[in-house]
Amino acid sequence: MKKTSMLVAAALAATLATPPVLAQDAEASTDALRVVRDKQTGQLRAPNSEELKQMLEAEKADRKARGKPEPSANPQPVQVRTYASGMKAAVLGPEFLVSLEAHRDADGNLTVRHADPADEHVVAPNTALPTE
Amino acid sequence: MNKKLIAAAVAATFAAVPSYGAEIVINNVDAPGIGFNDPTPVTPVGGNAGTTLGEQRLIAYARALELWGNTLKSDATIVVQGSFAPLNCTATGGTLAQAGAIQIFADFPNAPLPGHWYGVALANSIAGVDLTPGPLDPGPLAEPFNDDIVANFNGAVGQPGCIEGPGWYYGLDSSPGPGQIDFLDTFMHEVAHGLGFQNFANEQTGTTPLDLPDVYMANTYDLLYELPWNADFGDVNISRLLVRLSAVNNGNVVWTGSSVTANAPLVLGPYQGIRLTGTLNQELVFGTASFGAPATADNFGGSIVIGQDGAGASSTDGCEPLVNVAETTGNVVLMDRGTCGFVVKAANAQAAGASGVIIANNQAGGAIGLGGSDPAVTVPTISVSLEDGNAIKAASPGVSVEFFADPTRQAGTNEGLVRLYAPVTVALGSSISHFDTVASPDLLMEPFITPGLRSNVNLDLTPSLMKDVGWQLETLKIGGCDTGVTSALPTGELLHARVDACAAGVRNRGQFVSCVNKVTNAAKDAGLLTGRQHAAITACAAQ
Repeated sequence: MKKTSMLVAAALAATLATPPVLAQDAEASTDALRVVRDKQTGQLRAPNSEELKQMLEAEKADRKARGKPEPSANPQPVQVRTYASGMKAAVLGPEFLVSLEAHRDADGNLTVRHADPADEHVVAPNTALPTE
Repeated sequence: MNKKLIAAAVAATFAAVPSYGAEIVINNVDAPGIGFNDPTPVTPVGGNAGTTLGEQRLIAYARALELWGNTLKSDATIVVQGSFAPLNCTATGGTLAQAGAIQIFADFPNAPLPGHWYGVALANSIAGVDLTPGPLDPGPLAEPFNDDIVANFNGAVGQPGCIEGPGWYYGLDSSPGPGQIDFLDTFMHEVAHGLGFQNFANEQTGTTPLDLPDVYMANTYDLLYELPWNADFGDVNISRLLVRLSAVNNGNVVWTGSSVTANAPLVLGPYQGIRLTGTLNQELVFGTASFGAPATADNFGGSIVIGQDGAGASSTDGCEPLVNVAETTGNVVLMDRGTCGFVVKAANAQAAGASGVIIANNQAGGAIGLGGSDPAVTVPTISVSLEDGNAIKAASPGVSVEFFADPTRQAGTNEGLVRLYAPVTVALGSSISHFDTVASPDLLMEPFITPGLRSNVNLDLTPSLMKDVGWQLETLKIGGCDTGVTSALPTGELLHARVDACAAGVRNRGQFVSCVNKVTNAAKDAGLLTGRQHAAITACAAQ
C-alpha cells in the first residue's frame, strides 16, 4: 500500500497547480488532480484506491447526466475467445499495429515517424521537429 | 508456389550452406501484378539477385525472415502475412509500413506468466505447437486469423504521387544510397515488434485487452514509482493509472529483463551527458538540435551567460542581435524559446561570439528537440526544460556547463537498466515499445531507423530482449552440424549471418573454414566465445 500511496501522491504532486476537478468532459485527462479532504485532519490528501474508484464512478455518472460521451474509445480486440482449458485468445485489429509514416520535404530530407504526429523521428536532417 | 519461389531465391543468393532455425514463412496476400508480384524489371542490387521488383521484395523479405529464423528457436512454423501493395500516401508523405502480432494468447500451455498476454508467434514457440493451426489467411487481416504476424510495406513509395524521391533499397547489405529507405533494416525492426518487442497497452488510457498485462509489461519498470507495469493492485483503475503516468515518465522507465541488463555493457557506449557546475550543480536532461555542430566534450562547455538582445517581445529570446557581446564572447549563451526560430537565436548567439547555446523551453514539456536548418550556423546548441532554464537564471551569474562522459554508466541506462522510450507526450506506436533514443550507439529498436544500423549482421540488444520475453535463442548450425553455440552473440552480432557471408565469398571448403575461423577468433578474443565454443564452430565448418 505504501507504493500505491506513493503512486497516487506522485500524481497529486505533479498536478498541484491545477484546481481539483471532479467532473470532466470527454477526452479530458483522467489523470487530472484528484484530492480528498481527510475527514479526520481536514487536510487535502491523495485518494486511496477505493476513493479513487468512487471518484471515477461519479465522473462517469456526471458525464452521462450531462449527455457527454465517454473518453476516447480504447481499441478493442476484434475477437476474444476463452477456451475450456482457460486459455484466452484475442485477435487484434489494425489499431494495434505499429505504423511507420514518412514525410519528404522540398529539400529531399526524409522524416520517419510513428503514427502519432506528436512523435517524429529523423532519418535525414529534418524539418519535422519544432523550429521555434 | 510462393514458398518455392522464396526457397529458390534464397538458395540462389547464398551458396547453399543451409542453416536451420525457426521456420518463418511468408503468406503473400498481394493480388497478381502488384506488390510482391510486381513484374517490373529491375537490376540486382546489394546482394539481392532479383530481376523484377516483386522478386527483389520477396528475396529481401525472405532474407529478413531467415535472419530472424536463425536467431530465434521455434518448433512451430511462424507465418508472416506480407504485402507490398500501395498504402495511403501523397507526394510528400504517407505510410511506410505497418506490422504487429495478429493475435495474442494468455494461459496457453507452458505459459511462463499466468494471466499475461503473449504475441502468438512467441506463444507458439513456448507452447511447442501452433495455437492457430489451419490454412493460411486468405487476405489481409482476414479470418480465420491463422497467420501470426502481419508486416505490410508501401510498395508505391518513391513513385509519382507517393513520397516522391528515392524509394526502398532492397539490397541485403544495409547499404542504401542517399535518401533511400533501407528495407531490410526497416523490416527487421518492424517484424521484431510482431515477434515480441511490444506491449498491448494503450498508454493514453492505460487499458489492456481484457485488463490483462502482457509479458513486455512484466519487464517494464518505473524507477520513480518503483513499480513494474504488471503490478497487481487488485483494482484495474490503479493499474491503468500507473500505465498512463509512467508512460510519460521520461528517463525513468526501464527494462528489467536479465538478458538485456547483462548484455547492455557489451553494446552501449559510456554515458555522456551535460551537467551544471558552480552555483548550481546538477545533470541536465537536454535536447539536441538538427543544426549546428553536435555538442561534444570537445566543443561544448563554459560559463553560462544570459543573452540579451534588448529589443522585441522579450530581451532574452535572442531574436535580435545580442547587445552584451562582451559577456557572451567565448561563453555559452542561454536564451528563451519563443518569437523566432531556433536557428535565428543560434545565429545571433554565434554572431555574438558564443561558444555554445542553450535554449530554455518556454512551456511545459521538458527539453525538446530543436528543428531547423541553416548551414551557416555552426555553434553547438542544446535545449533544456523550462524548469532548468529558470533554475540557471536564478543561480546566475556563476553557473557553468560541461559535457562529460561517465564510463561507469552506459549511455541509455538509468541505475544500470536500459531505458525505454517514454517521451513526455505519449506517442502511440512509439512510447515504451522501443529503446530510448539516448542510447548510444543507435539501437535497432529505437523509434526510428538510423543510417548506422547494420541489421544484416547485428541486432544489438534485440535478441536479448527476445530472450527476456520468453524466446529461446537458436544455436548456430552449419550444414547438418549443430555447434551448440547460440547463434546471436551477447552483443547481438549474428554468427549465422557471418557464416553465410563466408559461404558466399569463398570458392572452396578450405577457404570457408578459414573464414569462419577468422570470424570466431575475433569473437573469442573479445571474450564473447569460449575456446570450447570456438572449437565447436570450426569443427562444424570443417565437416
